[in-house]
Amino acid sequence: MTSATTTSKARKGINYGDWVISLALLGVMVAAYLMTLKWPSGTAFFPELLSLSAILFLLVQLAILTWNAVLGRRDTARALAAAPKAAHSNGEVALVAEGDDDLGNENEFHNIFSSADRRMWGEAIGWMVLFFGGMYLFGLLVTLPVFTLLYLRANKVSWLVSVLYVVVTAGLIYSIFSLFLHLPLPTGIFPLSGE
Amino acid sequence: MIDAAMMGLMEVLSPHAMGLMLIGILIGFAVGILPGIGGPVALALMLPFTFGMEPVHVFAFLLGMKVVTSTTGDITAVLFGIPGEATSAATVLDGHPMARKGQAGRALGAVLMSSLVGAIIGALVLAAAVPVLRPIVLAFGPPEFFMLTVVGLIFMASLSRGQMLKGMIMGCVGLLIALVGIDPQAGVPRYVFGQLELWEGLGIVPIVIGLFGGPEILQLMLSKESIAGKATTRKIDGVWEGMLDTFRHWKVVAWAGGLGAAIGVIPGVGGSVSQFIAYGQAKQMSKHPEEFGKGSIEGLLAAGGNNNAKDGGALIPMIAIGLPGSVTTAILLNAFLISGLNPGPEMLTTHLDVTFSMVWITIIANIIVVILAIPLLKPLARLTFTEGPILVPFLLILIVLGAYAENNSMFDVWIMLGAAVIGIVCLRWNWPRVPLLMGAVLGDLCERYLFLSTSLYGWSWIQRPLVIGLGALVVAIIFKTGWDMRKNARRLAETRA
Repeated sequence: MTSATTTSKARKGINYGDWVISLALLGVMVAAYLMTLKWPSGTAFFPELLSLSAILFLLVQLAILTWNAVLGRRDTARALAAAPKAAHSNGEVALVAEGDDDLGNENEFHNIFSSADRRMWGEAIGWMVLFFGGMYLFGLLVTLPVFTLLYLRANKVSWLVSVLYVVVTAGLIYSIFSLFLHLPLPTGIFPLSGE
Repeated sequence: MIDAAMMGLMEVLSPHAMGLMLIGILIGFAVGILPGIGGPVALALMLPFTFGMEPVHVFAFLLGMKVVTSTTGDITAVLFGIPGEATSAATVLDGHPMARKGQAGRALGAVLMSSLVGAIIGALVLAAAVPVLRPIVLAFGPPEFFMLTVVGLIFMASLSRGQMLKGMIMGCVGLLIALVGIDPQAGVPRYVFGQLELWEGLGIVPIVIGLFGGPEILQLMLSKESIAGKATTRKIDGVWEGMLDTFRHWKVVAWAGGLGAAIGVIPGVGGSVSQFIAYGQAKQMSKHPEEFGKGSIEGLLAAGGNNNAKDGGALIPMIAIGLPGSVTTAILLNAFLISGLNPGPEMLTTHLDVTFSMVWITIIANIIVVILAIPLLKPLARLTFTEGPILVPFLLILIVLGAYAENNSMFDVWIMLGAAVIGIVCLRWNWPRVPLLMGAVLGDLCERYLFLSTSLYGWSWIQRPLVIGLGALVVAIIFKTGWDMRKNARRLAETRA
């Protein structure tokens, strides 16, 4: 179990995430609406209705955010999500799923994502890039053993377990998809495995 | 009718039919555990093997397989937060939080038993509906279908834990996502940005897997904890307790099953909407609505009971008027035609025994699934206590294959990644994911039914009695949610004071 810690910032009143998401969505919806102007009326009707409704909802949302910022208060859901952080009086939060039954799955995830520091994000995103980049370039049957071995070893899993893991998963995937179901697997742009 | 029912039972219990059903169940279990290769893909792959078979044998094989894939979709939803199909999405909401609390055994037992009870309810509704099939199906026209999709969306937005406005915004985003591709009415490409792959629209399976599975994998990478994390209890043994929960909360399961079977009848809308309506209904009925979405056993039972019940309902329009409401029923319709059967009045007269055999297959196959799955549940539940780094490569493979397998397209894998990013952003900044998913599932239908309604009736469809009733329900949901939010805000203010 790793229990990395990071400093949590108190941001009273202004929900920067909500502001950015709301403004980004507003931009998307305005663009979605503008695109409908070039289409025939029948084609444009439903997307127009949706984008205009979304713009209306987003304007209300931005008004609420502004109101909350002026009054210096946070919305109920965010306040509830932030509640466990307050329990850590030293201003630091543990990077683990909280075991409190009152917290939902989504709040646990929120806590983990919001508490992770840059190094941890960078590490996780790096592994993702390696996996998906490898699959794009060389296909699944090449990437799967390489990634699995590297990832497990980097996380201090023993050589024996890592190699067994690779053999079993790659064997199962190959048997089920290629031998039994005759379904293709992602081959990548430089296929090395002859999938 | 009783004669036909008994004849159908005898045909299903014949060694040949039972053998084929068992093979179908085993294949369904093996294939269905992989997200993306759910019911439709498994059925499509096995359809060629049914040439030359007797009709009852065909359905013993294919329906048996379909039943298992519904259940296995729920199992992955509980264990890993990766629903096998869009129709298992509601199972994630409470099933996965239970697994994270160390109650995977109980959750799996509950979802398995509620699925069985739900399936029996669905099968009984199918049997009871036989004499009155046509009027039931025909009572709903495009305006009612449209309103039902709106009810489903509003229901889901209302369950977004005090964030109904965000839920409605995300619902609109989901609906717009569903409109990507060629407009079916005029053939005009919409939001495709010159990409040929987008002309057919965005697949639902990659979106579901990305929205729910992506954040799960990332949190495992970040925390390096097991799925059950720092759970105080480790109830791998809770399978029987979960099964008993089904009977302790029998009203929830009965309601969910009934709603699943009833709404499952509606072509195209059934499975996706009914799970959330049943979930919402269970929340309204519950004495502990605040636990929903956080590992409520009632929420899980509602989703589980609903999922398999809808399969019985979905067979009704296919049998009665040859109208398949989903990809699965479309494949089953092919099986009908391959075996020389014509859906419609024939199925309610000369081939009534075949119709009843489908009822029996649904019941018997579900019972077999439960018996076969019980010994597997403990080892499966143990997976939730496996350290995060061990699970990560396995889950990455699952989500990639799940996204890729439907169309054998890397493009779907990138769509899944995009959905995963959206899911992570939603979780990080407390925006609800489920309304977006609902919008993406229902957008196409919503537009089609709105188009048909206005084409057929102008705007006078708004005055239809069922439409008015459903509209009143929408208004009631909005007011009730607003009232609850106000109450919660007051309570929070008092707590702070």
